[in-house]
Amino acid sequence: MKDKKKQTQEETVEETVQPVEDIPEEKAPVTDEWHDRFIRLAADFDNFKKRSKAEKDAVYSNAVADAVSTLLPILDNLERAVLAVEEGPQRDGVKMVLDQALKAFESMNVTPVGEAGDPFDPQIHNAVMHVDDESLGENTIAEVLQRGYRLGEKVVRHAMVKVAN
Amino acid sequence: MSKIIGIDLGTTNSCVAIMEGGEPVVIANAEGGRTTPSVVAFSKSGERMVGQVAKRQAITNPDRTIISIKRDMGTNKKVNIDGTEYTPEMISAMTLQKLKADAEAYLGEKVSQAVITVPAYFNDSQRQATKNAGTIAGLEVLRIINEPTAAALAYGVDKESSQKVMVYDLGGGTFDVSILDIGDGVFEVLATNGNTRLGGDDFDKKIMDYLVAEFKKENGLDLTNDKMAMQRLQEAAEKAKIELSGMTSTNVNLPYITADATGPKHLDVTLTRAKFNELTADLVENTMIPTKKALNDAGLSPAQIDKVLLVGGSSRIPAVQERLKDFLGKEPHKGINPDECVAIGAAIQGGILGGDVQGLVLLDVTPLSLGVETYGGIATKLIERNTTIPVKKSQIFTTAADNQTSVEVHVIQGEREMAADNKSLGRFHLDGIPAAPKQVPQIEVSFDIDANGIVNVSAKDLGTGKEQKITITASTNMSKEEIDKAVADAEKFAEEDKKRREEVEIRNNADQMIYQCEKSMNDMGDKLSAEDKAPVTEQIEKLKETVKGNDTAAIKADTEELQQRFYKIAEKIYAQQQPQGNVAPDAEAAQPNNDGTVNVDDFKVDDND
Repeated sequence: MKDKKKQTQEETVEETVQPVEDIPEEKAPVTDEWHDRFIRLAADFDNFKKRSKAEKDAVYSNAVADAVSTLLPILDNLERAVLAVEEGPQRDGVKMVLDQALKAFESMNVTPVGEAGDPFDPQIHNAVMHVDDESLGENTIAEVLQRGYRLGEKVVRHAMVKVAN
Repeated sequence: MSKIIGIDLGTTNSCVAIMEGGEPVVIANAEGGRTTPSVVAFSKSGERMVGQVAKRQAITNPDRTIISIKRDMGTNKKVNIDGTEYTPEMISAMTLQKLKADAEAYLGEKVSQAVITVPAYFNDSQRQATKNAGTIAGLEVLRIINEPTAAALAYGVDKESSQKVMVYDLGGGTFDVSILDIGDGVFEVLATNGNTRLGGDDFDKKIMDYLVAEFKKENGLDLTNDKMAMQRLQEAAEKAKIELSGMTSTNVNLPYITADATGPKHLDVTLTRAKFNELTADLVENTMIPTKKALNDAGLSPAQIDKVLLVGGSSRIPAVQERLKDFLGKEPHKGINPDECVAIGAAIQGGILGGDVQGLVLLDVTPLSLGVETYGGIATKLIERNTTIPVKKSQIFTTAADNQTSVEVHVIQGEREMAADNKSLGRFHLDGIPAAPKQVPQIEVSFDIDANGIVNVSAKDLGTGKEQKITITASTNMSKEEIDKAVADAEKFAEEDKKRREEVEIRNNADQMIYQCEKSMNDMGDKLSAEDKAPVTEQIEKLKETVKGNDTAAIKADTEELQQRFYKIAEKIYAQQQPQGNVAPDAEAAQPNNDGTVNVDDFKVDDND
């Protein structure tokens, strides 16, 4: 009697479990997963190649921009010197050096941006001061504190400006 | 499946990163910057600006420029711009949208999922607000993780043994320190502290003040009223600070800084690192107050911290690193760009969630419990779910019937109480067990899961040393849905399963009780009179009848009654034998072994039996 009961339990258990042969089939998702990962990695690589090409193209202009921005403070100080020195041969000399420098920058396609009276544009100007002045228009540059420069279209340095109204 | 981006949504700056070919990469924004200011502005014409552009126009448009919105996350504070009310979530969403757009431009594909970091001290509503911001920005936020946790992920601390880690985060305008307990893939925040108004800008200010004072000493002129000069000084101060992290001395050279009646004046000051350290010593010391507090709250001494991770741009300052080294007695960990560290960690978390990163933290656990089927169809777990692998566990089992020479080891996976409700992974037989009364043989069953999730199950008869094994590789192949369903089922059926398990156990106990009593009575032979035995034999017959039925309560009651009656005669035997100083050998065996303390379960009786 006792044995019979055990027998019944045994059968119930046997019926509910899956046959062992099912197990190998479960390996299929692994292959799919690896296939998916492979495809994604291939896509990643393709995008990486495209991006690398774009980055390579940008390397030259970025390097020039870096060099230019390092030299810009010297240009600034030459300008300051011209303004600070009294008129005369001293000033003329410094002025000639400044002009020479500006020409050299121009030949590298570097152009100044930001003039008093221009409308303020945060894409090329960096506002550091604000002034209320009735004589000037709305959102207009009142004073350029430090000139900005562009290399081609790229802004190498934003013009530091005082903005009115 | 789209890529999952990791976002460090900061108070002053934000950063976005992604896993690419298994490596985290920080994505530069459209302007080329690797971090983006968390600044949002609206022009007078209603045009929206985010990041550097917004920052550059801030001073001309303060009413329509929003900075540090992170400080208001989770509050009801609203920002009113030209009659439109914006919640902190909406403003943060604009920063997130910009980061998302930059990531899409970089990847050349749509991005729709993200992991976003928050300070460890953020409460539920602040976290929810951050999640909402992501949703508004069109991002499904897969996970909100703590900034220090992200930093630890970036440094790969999770892959090491369990340890206590301090994350020292000195950013542009805020300072946070967190103590984490990292182990078994779990990141526990033990304590956090900080100063919401202390950061790199304060260090710049110290240098500026010094330069102004030096200039005044030299020239007798006060530069503080000259806005233009102060602008130049601010830039120069920040540059000097950065240079002093790499050099021991730097020169601040500002020609024509101003002019008076005597002509132009130049500022030319040499700043040594020693001087800089002296100037900023109080700031460094100010970071140590929260640091000590956090350590105290965590109940740890400086020596108990295994690692210090540096986060935030100002953690590059050598004096900060030296102070930490002095205090904790160990070199802080550097190497990962501290401005990008948190975003990198978030990207790694994204990679883990997306399956790009494997063999890391969260995957290193068994998703479901593993065990074997025991007598009556019960699922006996050997390895609980979420156990970190590799792991090895074993347990001793025994036979369920007399002269059982073979046991079947049925390996199952799942959370349900009954074996049949769980997933069957495989089965094997261990035979050649010497014939013996039930519960005598000792079969050791071992589960060994290696780092790849491959399960080896072996059964060994400790009596003969005979062993059988099975290797199961299918255990990790359950899909996320299957795992979720299994866990949900276990919760749903917990009560029902428990009842079924109890029923089986009650039956097993009854069977066992009958067996033990009959055996003992036989062994006792004529030591007891038929009269003494009668109550027990009667009750055995009664219980045998009850077991045939389905009334569990009755089976339980009759089993207990049998136990009581048997105790009585066992006492008699015991009293008789006492004078000889011997305990009846069977008195002990007759103790019902359902007290739960013995680590012995019966295997279900094998077919061959």
